Amino acid sequence: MMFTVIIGFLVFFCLHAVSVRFLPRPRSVYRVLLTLVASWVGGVVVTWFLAHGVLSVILLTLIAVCYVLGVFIIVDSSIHVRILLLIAERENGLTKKELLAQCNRNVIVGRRLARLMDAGELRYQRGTYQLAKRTTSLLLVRERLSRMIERLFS
Amino acid sequence: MKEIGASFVFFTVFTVLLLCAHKRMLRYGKRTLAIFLVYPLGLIAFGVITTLSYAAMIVYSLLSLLAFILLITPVLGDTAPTSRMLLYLRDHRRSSVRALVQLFSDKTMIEKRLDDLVTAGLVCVHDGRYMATAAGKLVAWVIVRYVKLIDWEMRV
Repeated sequence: MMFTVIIGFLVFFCLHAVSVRFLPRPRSVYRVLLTLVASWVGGVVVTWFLAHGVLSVILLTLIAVCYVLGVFIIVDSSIHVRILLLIAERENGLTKKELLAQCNRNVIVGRRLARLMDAGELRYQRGTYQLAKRTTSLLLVRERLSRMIERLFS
Repeated sequence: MKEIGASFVFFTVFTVLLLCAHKRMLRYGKRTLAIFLVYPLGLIAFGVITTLSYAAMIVYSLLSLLAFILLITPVLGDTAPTSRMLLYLRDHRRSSVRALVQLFSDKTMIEKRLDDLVTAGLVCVHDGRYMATAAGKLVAWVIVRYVKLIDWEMRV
């Protein structure tokens, strides 16, 4: 069974890698989510074809969700990863001052704003940012969930 | 399917235990990732108490991994910057860049994370310079290859 699940995950990953590569820029959250769902469906079809079992599909889904939350999103937006890459690309490393010159709150907030603007999640009007209408659905549900978990653990 | 249901029940019970352990640690002013040891303990209990299949245990393990990924930030007391920005914009309707930048400080946003990397053994300090350790270089290499493979631009 695990062999089938691994095959299903490989199909999911290949479909995801190919579809993300060919996704037109700017890549909105919705488009990326759509490619992930489509890739998951591909993985499920292959798993079902090979195993005919609900359990295999549940396992594939759990592995896919772990991959998306634990690898894809982390690599996309983790500040830890950004700092590690900045340090690792210099043979002699960086001082804290040099690091802060390249990676500071202005840079991080600026990049996130630019990315959210490109994706159509924010609007820029008269020198201020505001949420675009469609942001209120998907992204805010995710953020509310994150906030709920944070409150529970604070 | 009953076995899978049992995995979910076990997982829920041990997540509640994790939350209780975390709250107790907070009373002593401590935040530690050690509380996630609750999940492997749960897996052992799962194996000893029940005679469930390996598949049910794998489901439990994957659920635990998922919980670890989702809970690591709140357990360490961090807030994802994007979450904070979006919720601030939702509450205030509109905001300047300056106001958004002032939600954060370099100390909490960068220096704390730099310390985390040192603690994790991915970065070390030599004569005031932060350098990647062998493990850090390996992780960075894997991430760079992965980003090239899916042709992705990082958001940070």
